[in-house]
Amino acid sequence: MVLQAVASGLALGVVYAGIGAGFSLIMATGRLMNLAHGEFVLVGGYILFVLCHGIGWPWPAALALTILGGALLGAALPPLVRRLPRREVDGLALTLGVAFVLQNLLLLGASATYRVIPGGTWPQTIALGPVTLSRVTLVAAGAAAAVLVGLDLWLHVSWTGLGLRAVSQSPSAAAGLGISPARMEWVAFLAGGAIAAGAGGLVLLTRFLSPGEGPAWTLVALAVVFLGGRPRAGALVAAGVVLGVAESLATVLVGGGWREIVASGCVLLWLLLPGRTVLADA
Amino acid sequence: MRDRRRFFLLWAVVLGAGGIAVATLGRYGVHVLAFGLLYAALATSWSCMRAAGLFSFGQAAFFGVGALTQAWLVAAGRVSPWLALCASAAAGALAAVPLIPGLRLSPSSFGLATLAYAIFLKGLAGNAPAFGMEGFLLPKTPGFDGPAAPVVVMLAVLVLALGLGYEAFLGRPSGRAAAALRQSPETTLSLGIGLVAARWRPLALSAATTAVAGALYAHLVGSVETTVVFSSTFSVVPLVLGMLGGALNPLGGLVGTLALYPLDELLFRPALPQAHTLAYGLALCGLLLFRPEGLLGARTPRIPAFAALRRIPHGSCALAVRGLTVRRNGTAVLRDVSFAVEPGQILRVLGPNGAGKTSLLLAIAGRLPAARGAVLLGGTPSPRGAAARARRGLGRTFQAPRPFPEWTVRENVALAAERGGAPGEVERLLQELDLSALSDRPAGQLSVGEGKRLELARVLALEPSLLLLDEPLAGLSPVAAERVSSVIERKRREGAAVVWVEHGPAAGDLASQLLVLEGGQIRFLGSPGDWEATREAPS
Repeated sequence: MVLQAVASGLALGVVYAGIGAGFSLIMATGRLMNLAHGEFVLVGGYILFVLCHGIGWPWPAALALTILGGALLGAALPPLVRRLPRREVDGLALTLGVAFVLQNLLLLGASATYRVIPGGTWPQTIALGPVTLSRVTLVAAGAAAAVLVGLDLWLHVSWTGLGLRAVSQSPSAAAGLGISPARMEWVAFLAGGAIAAGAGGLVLLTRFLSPGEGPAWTLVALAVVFLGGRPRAGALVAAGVVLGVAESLATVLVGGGWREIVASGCVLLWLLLPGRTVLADA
Repeated sequence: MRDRRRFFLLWAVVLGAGGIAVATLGRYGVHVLAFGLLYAALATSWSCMRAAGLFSFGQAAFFGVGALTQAWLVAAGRVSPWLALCASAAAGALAAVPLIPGLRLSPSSFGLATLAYAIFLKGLAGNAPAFGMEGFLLPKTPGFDGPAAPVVVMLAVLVLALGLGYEAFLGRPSGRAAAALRQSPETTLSLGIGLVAARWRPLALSAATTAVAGALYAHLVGSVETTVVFSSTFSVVPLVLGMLGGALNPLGGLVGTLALYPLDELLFRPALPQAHTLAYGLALCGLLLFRPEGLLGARTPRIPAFAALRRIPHGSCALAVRGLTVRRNGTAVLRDVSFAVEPGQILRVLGPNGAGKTSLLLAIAGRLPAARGAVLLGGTPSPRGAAARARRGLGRTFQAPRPFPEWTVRENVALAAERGGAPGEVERLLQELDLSALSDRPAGQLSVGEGKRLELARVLALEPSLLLLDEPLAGLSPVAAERVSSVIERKRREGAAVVWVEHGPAAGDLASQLLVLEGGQIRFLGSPGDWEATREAPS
């Protein structure tokens, strides 16, 4: 049972790393911790649910439109964020407000009912030695891994990726080299929103959706980014896997309902342990 | 006087609006009034924390703890609601204890910690066999039964007490310390005021009163569900209403509630029963974009010219640095540095950019940990932390001036004099450093040169026995530099030990010793004459 939990946690962790990747991109280049990230994930999940379940689109086409929707959502943030005098703390409050608005809009549009993708071919399982994983979990983990590798390559090989990394280190130095920090920031929000919504589509494959789940997903993203320490695919996957395995083991050994406790506990420990003195602003 | 008039006017509006609501809407009016007061209490509690530079995104943690404690004691334990209220307040304050290490964090990081904490406690409470997800149904108790007059009066008393308590807090030394911390944490530490010491009271007060509001909510509603009382609504609503009214004003929570809650109750709830809190999310976004300071301006506590003294006695203080090695991000910025400065001596520190001069000052001041070696003050190991070292008699200036921008020049110096126990020094220092004409100007409006002089006035008002000066003459005119140098020389004659980082020649004229750093290591340590001889000697 423990082995099965570890295997499920591994697969889940890769999806978590995907959720953290979008958050990390916006945090590094946009210099903003997006507390509406969990709601972006949910919006993606709901778009995919409507397209697949409501209209009957094939999953890949629906996912493409979901990613586009997430990108548009992300692109709406920079004009708001740029107006803030103190981005670090006011940005948190602003995105908390955006999260609250999205939560209520989801409640209005989709009600509080839990949504799952029903039946069909999804529940099929694959035996991998002593453990059994559902095909859909493996598909989600594979898709998340592909996105992470693609994102890492994009950030380290392309000119845009180089620009994003330059702005994340020093916007003024990047501007001196002719890289527009405003444009890079916009690209980061757009890509971060797209990744979050895409991850929401993957979440829908493995779990249920509910409008109140946003903060929990934001915490997952925070935990992955804090534990990962660096915005590299490997570090994010390692952090996601640690979190996923810890959650699965907690669920098996202690009982259900421990998912939020594990993620929030990780964030709390990271912030409250000695040596984390941060006096950046007031 | 203006604040007092505003206070009475506001409470007249609250009582008038409440009376109209009850007269026209009957029992529903009482419900509206009760919830309005509940939200005002939550918003004012949230603002108390903001007064100390803290930002909470997770007040639901304390609200949930208060509501659950009350419901559990009254419903399962059959305890008197009055006794349970006291227990709920204590439970709220206790629930804040795990956040105490977070008081060292920046407002945004502390905000994230509170957000995570609320979700953590929600999970714990949901999984606890005593509470579970089912919740409690409170038994009917006279006086505590739904939105009845006694509960409404208790909520009104809570709001009033919070407003008055917040006002009284601002007038006390602890309130001034909290306001200083909000404006400039580094400078506050250099005055010997610790982050935790200045912030734990607002945190505990906010947590306890939020828990009491949660306990009264349990009686208002008659039942408590874990998922409801720990929900983000009770984190976001206080934040929105507090910010809307003006988080840095004791009346802000009440004003914010008066401005938004009636709209929510009378317009949004009937139109969008499931999603009426949408109004709070929209209000928060709009507020941050168009009026981040809220409807009422900040109430910054004034610093009295002769404040109640909290003298920190310290005699002469020799500095000895032994084998000091300091690392930043894994790289050694100081390696095996040793020297001593006796009382009445000036050590001038020289070196190119990146030599480790500022790192040396930071390490002595307690802002950078030593990887190896030790800093001794008066022959004994120095205490840990910048505030503790300041209380041992260490005063420091910053390379770029860091005043308290909301206070005047005189208030900046008076706050330090309050800590140092030398209120008579304020006018003398202002005069000596040519700041008398600027004494009523907000310190945030000073030029760099004026700010540099204020830095020195503030640190001298602390009556330090060891002075760390980071380029105090940079950017000053020759006349101002001469004046500042003579004040430092006076302080040396009075017995202070001085470590002075400066590029210009003035410090060299006064120095007893020179320390030349290069690449984090000592290149020369000796008298200025020996250094000149070394430089003139043919290589």
